[in-house]
Amino acid sequence: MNGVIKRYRVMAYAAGVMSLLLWFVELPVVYLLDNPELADKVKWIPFVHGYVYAFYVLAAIHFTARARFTIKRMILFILAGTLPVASFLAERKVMREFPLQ
Amino acid sequence: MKKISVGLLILALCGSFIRLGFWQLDRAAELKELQRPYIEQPMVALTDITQPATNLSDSAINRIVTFSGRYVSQTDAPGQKDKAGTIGTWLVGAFEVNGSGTILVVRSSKNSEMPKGEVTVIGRLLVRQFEDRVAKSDGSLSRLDPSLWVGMSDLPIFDGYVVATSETLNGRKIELPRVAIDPARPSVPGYYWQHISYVVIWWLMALVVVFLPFYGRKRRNDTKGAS
Repeated sequence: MNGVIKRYRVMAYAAGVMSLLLWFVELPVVYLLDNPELADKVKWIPFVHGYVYAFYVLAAIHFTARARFTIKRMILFILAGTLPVASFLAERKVMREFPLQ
Repeated sequence: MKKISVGLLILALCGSFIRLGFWQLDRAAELKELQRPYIEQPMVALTDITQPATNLSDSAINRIVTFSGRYVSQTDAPGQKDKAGTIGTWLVGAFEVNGSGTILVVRSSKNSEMPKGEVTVIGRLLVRQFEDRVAKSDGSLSRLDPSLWVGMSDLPIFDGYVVATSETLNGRKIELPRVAIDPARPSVPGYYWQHISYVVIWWLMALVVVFLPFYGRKRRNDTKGAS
């Protein structure tokens, strides 16, 4: 179980960081600033976020299934990767309920 | 009854996610298509591809067109950006096409007198601008949109506008600095691999929806077995 939790934690951090970058860096640069050069520099963020989230979903399903969570909790864990900070909160919750041995 | 409802819900969700995946796939394909260089088509007469008082068709946008007639008035369009990114005030004329309607023509990036007499224009036909470049004011156009020019002409108005590359007055070429612009490209937000990643996510979600009922049943059986 430790390996599953570790994988989930890593992906929760990665998805959280990418969500923060997407919401607070890439989207404002592209939609609020008229600066094509800067927009070009941050264009890697949305697609890295996309793939990281896909792996986060797999890690979340694996972890919640092994932890025998309800379907509702599993869905909430999957959705936590879409909002900034939510995956960090989910990861904290996991660490409280399943401290590593 | 409950099983049928759940089954239908799963089908609906799964179908929606698969459809969303295909939508992102289409956007990725569209984006790839847009990255190809624009292929110039032969010059045509304006009235062969569009008529006054009708919307511009997609196939008419960006075509190099020619037409003859006369200028009836001209004005300024400030805040316009050219190919090099230079923002300036463009000289725009209201042009009555012989036996047809009136069209906006971007004549130059410099001020000049309005030609009097029979003029033949060659230029690129573009779709009208939808966003103001500057605040609205009397005597100038805030965007290149024929609907803004009230009383431009008594004739019906063509949709869009033409950026002139050459003008001939009574057979003699009018020398003016012309506005250089790129062909208009419809924009699809995002990037190719971003859309592909969303395809992966939507289809992964469809798989998750199919997987959840099996997980729920297994979890119930395990719980029953344990008790």
